[in-house]
Order: sequence, then C-alpha cells, then structure tokens
Amino acid sequence: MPDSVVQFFEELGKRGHEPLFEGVSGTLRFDLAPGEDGTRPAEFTRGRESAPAEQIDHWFVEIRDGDIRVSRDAVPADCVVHTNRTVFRGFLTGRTNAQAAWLRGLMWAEGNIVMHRLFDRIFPGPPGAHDPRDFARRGRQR
Amino acid sequence: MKEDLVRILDGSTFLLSDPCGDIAASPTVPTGLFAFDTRYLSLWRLSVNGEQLHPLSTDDTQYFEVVFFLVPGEPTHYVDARVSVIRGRSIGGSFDEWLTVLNHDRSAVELTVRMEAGADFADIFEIKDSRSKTGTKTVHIADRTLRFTYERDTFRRETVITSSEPVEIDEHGLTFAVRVGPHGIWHTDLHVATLGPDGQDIRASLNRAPGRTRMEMRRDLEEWTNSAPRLDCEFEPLVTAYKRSLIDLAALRFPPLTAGTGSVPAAGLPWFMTTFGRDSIFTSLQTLPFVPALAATTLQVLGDAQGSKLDDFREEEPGKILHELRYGETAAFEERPHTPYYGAADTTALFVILLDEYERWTGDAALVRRLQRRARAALNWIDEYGDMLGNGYTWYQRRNEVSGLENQCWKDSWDSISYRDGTIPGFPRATCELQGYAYDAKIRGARLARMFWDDPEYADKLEREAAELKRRFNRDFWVADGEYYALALDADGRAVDALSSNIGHLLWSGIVEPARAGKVVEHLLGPRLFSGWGVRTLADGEGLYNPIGYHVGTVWPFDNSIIAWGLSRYGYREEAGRIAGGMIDAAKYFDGRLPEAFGGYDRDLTEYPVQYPTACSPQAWSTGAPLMFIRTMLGMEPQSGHLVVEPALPIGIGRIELLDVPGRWGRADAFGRGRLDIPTGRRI
Repeated sequence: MPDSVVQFFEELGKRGHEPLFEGVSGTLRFDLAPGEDGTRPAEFTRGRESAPAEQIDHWFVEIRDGDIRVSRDAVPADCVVHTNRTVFRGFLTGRTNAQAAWLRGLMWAEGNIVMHRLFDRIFPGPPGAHDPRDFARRGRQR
Repeated sequence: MKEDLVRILDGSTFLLSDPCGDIAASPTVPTGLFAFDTRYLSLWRLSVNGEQLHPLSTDDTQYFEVVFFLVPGEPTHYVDARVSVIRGRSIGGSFDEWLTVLNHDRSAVELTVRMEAGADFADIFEIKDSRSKTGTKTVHIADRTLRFTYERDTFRRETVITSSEPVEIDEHGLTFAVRVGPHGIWHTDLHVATLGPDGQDIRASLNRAPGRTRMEMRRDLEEWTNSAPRLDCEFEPLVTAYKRSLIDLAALRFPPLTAGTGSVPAAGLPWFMTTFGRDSIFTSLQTLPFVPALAATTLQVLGDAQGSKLDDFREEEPGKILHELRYGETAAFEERPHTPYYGAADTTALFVILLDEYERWTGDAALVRRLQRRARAALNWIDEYGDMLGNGYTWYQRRNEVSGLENQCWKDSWDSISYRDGTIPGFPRATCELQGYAYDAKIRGARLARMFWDDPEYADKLEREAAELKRRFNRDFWVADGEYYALALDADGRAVDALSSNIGHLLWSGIVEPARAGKVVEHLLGPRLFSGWGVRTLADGEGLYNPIGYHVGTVWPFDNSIIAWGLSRYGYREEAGRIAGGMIDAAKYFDGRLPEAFGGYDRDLTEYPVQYPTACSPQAWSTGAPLMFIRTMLGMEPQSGHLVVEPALPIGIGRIELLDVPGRWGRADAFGRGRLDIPTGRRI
C-alpha cells in the first residue's frame, strides 16, 4: 500500500496549484521522522526527534501565490516543521489538530509559523464534523 | 480578584503577588507567575532568618516592573529594622528578580536569606478549581540552578531558576548564607525562565526575541505614549482616564506568536491575556483614532487564523473569525477547544467592519487589498454558515455541547438572552446586534469592493442584500407594543422581547429605520435602561433584571462606548454626550480605570458606581472606552481624506484639545468647547 504521506506530497506537486494558497507566497520544509504506526512517538520528548538524520524524510514546498512546487530537497525554508509520519498522517485524516499537537510537543515549527498556519488549511477537519446548518436542522427535527 | 495584589506583565507573561512580592498560590488567592496560560511559579516566598518580610512601600509606576521596600518581621508599633531588603522585579518575556540586603548596623550581620520556590504548572483554566494534575512533576538541582519539570506524555513545561550568587539549593527553594559588613550591601540576581514544548522559551524558535530588557521596555512605553495624540483639557477626570488608558493599553498589548513584531490588544489581565476575536476587534475600533497600529495587527492575526474547515469541537467553519486562542495544557490535550476556538457569531462581521473603519482612518489600501480574500470569505460566512436556518439572519447554536459557549455573542453568559418574563429561548438564537453587524459588514464590504477590489458588481450585490436585511429586520424584530427592537429571535421566529442595551448597537450599525431612532433613543436614555452612569445591559423591570447580574443589569463601559457612537451616528449628540459624561464621571471613582462592568443601581441611589466583582482589571475594551468617548464628544470622523471635527461636549467639560491625531492626513488637531463653561470638578 502506498504511504499516504508520500502520496499527499506527490499529488500536491503534480497538481501544481492550490486555490487555498492563492495570495500566499513562501517556502516550507517538513522534516518527518519515522514514527511507527500505532505507537506513541516517545522519542519526541522535548519536541526533538532523536532519529538518525538518514531516517528523516524532507519535503520542501514552495508556494508562489497558489502555485506549488514540491521536492525532497533538504534546503533552507521560511518555516521548518519537525514531526513524524504518524503525527503527519493524523493531519492528513483530520484527526490531529496541528495547534494542539504543537502544544503537546508532537511537532514544532521554526521560523515563520504563519506559513505553517496557512499550509494547515489544506488538511481536512475532523471526520464526521457537521455543517452548522445541518446541525440546526437536525436539532429542530429532534 | 483581590485588589491588593501587585501585578506586572509583558504580553502573555504576568505575575501576581501579595504586597510584599510573595507568591503562595491557593484556589482563593490566584497568585503566581504565568506564561502561555500556565502557572510556572506557584510559590515564591522570601524570608530573612526565617522571618517573613513586611512592605514599607512599593514602587509600581511601570506595568512591567515593581520594587518592594521590605523589612523583616511583622509590623509592630514602629519599625526599627537593622536590616532592610529591596526586592525588585521585572518581566520582559522571562522573569527577573533582584534582591538587595542592606545592613544599617555598625557591625556585620550573618543572615539566612531564603527563597522558597515551587511550580504547580496549573493551566489557567484550572486555577479556580485546582484539579490534581495528570502528569508528573520532577525537580532537578544543579549548580546555582533549580529546575521544575512537568511532563504528561510528550507535553513538557519547565521552570528554570538561576542565581547570580553562590547558593545552596534544595527541592523547595534557594538558601543564601549571607554576611553583610557594617553598613554594607549584599546583592543577587535571580532569573526565572519559562520553557515550552521544545525545552526552550516558546518564542525562541520562532525568530522572536525571547524577552526584552527593562531599558527596552521603558523606551517602548515612552515611544508608545508619545505616538498617541496629546490631550489638553481642564476637566481632570478625562485627562486622568485618558492617560490611564494609554498606559493600560500598552500593558495589554499582546504579541501573538504569529504576529511578527506587531501587537494585538489582549482582552484583560489576568485571565484573558490572550487573543480574543471580539475583544481585540472592539478595542481596535475604539482606539483607531489614537493608536491605529493595533487594528492593523489585529486584522492580520485574525485573518491568518480564519477558519478553513468544519470542526464541531472548535466550532470552526470556513471564513469564520476566531473567538479565543489558548496555549495551556487543557487546550493541548483537547479538554478545552481553544486551539483556536471559533464559538462566536459576531467576530466575522466585526472583522469586515474593522477592516473598513481602519482604511477610513489610515488610508492603508495595501492591507485592504491584501486581506481581500479574508474579507470575502468572512462576508460569505455571514450568508452561508452563519445563516443556520437559511432565512437571512445570523444565528448561533453550539455544536460543542460539552465545552462550547451557549451564547455566542458579546453577552456570553448563559442567562443573557431572555424574554420579558424571564424565560429563556431555545436554540438556535439570532440576537439583534448580530443582524446589525451583518448589515454594516455588507455596507462596508460594498465600499471596499468598489474602491479597492475593483468589483462593483459584488458591491451592488452586497448593498442589495443589506437593504433587504434592513427591511426584513425592521419587520421581524420590532416589538410594536414596546416600540423597540427585540433582543433576539427564537428559532420559531418569535421575538425574544426583553428590552436591552443591544438596541444601542443597532444605532451604531445603521440598521435602525431613521423614523424609529427617536423611540430607541428614548428607551436608551429612559429610566429603565439609563442608570445615570450609563445604559444597563438589561432594562429594569425585565424578568431577569438584576443590577449586579453579569449581562442582565450591570452597566458596561465598552457597551456604552458603542452606544454613544451609535447615538452620534444618528445625530443624537447631546444624548451621546450624556453617556460619555456619565462614564467619565464614573471613571473618577476608579482612578481613571473603568472596570469591566459596574452595578446597574440608580446613580441617585448609590451616588457611587458599584464595581462588579470581576476577574479582570484592566480590561481592554473598558480601557478603550474613554478613547471612544473622546472621539464621540469631539465628533471626529474621517471624511474625504480629512479629519472632520464636530464637537458636542457635555456641560462641565469646558474644552478639549486633542493634538496630533494620526490618520491619512498625517497629523491633525481636534478642538472642542463645551456649551457652557463650568469650573472643573463640578458634577456634569
């Protein structure tokens, strides 16, 4: 089964443009440590991944007013996000909230964190979330 | 909060202590050193030879530093100390304390100077109900360093105390064995660092200076005060309130982690030293003619955090502007929804209103263009997610039924929205001021679309929708037998018919039919709503009216500042002046610092504004209120690139000169003279 993280970044690069990022320009780099599925990333104490450098995946994303270029270059970026693949998969499914993950030490960002905040818009909300209009309608029918 | 607590602060780092500088936290006395919504010191108690110290005097002229002059022992008939202690402290990101022991004797003394220290790492939400902590606390001792650590899974916070002088350290504090020569001095510096998730100051990894020196802080305060207009006025209470407000606003400036170098107004000390959508926007509106930079940062920060997805727990929706952002443990573990929480139905429209008002004053078209997508998304939210019942009104009903807010308007306590008879409506609810804000946002959005976004069709559409909303609102919200607007509509479209201060906000928004304005004004200044100091949140005689009920009878300076602006907008300048005058009069009783709210008792009854026993002082939008009253009294408006001044001062305020008002005109002066010259000090 293809890795959902790899899939996400490759698909993003192929798309080449994301309307959600129109008006946004800058660069991000995601440094992702392995983080086995289903296990708590215990090595994450103090927010610092202790995995050897060769096990860290780098994803470099350049955004120019919505146009996107993705590479695996470990080059400097406006914002560098450190986390592991387990946590990142949580972002992809909407089950993990980035701000809460940061406060818990599951990820941390260096540099211009506004870039990360804006990038986070691409991730879905939690599964099963309601549109307030549906919610109100359902409540009225109860 | 106990009023004798001594506080210092910088941004979201603040310290509350007793009058001798000690911290000994208890559920009832919430002292401590707080940073990022976490208590990093819950014990910080100084003693000399085992004796507590007693304060002779305190110098707290700066909001970020304080100096205590202390002597050992309890006060007796007279103080005859051979030793005294100067205990100074400042906050500039981290916390520094310096201790100086003076020996006044001709012979040397041997002293044991002890600082007890402890950290409970309580989340700011846990202070009052002091829960036991889920995680583990540990203490580490190293050379001249005492380190408290709290860990829960990967969550980690640390307090690191270091001393400049040799010291003996145990798990509960620092002990100095001190010998001070005849008439000699001994000194040590203590530094307390508050570390975040990655073992360093949270700000350090974000290209931000982790803290500022005292000199930098002083320079910054001076620049801040100098950049604001100068007020010249014979009416002393107004001058005092203005000066107090400028300093308090400086103290309440909060640099969010995403704001670069800018600041937004935090909501209030101590519990609300964080980004609040509503409070930050209203304070920015109040202070625009004086310190416009706050509005620019507020717009930027709230825009960056605009909702983009659906999330029931956080009540997030695409385009929505946030309610509250927190950094503590309960937010981290999603026990509370503040990462960020979006449970507010008014912030999104207010965001557009602030953007337009900001441009009118500053001419900063670049920001309006940069935030075009954000503003459009906000306007879209009003028509889509905000209109929960699809009938053209803005509604709210919480989806987070555990920790979400029931009332998602400025009156956010549970019983604030009621019928005349005191019963409480079901959900969803559409309060009247939300519709006013939506109307105003559309009108202002249309101006922005036409002038800056090159989209006249969108402007026309917004204006059509606004006109339609106004027509519909005046049909559905008007309470015919009382001749005022209902507080809200319930889900069945029935008027929630209590008479409330919310009708004043409608004047500010311009949604009131001019023919009905007179009746609304009569109510606002009538005996049921007007207390003599200001307009009550709920009218005397309503089922739930209580003069000391939080949103059901108290008088809020912020509320009144918006009402006065509204009265002014409809040409009721004298009435606006009455409210401004009453409020400035009240400020006299609080050394110029208007509280969050005070009792709705008749002024004739108490002759003294009874402060509501509130948690926060200073509170940002109370701090901004005197500035708004000055604007209203002087009738200051930006018009075609100029500052227009049409003063209408209440009798008693002889003359106001406001010099160097910043704006698109550069700097301009505003002058006003009262209709009658009356000696200062006389009651308005």
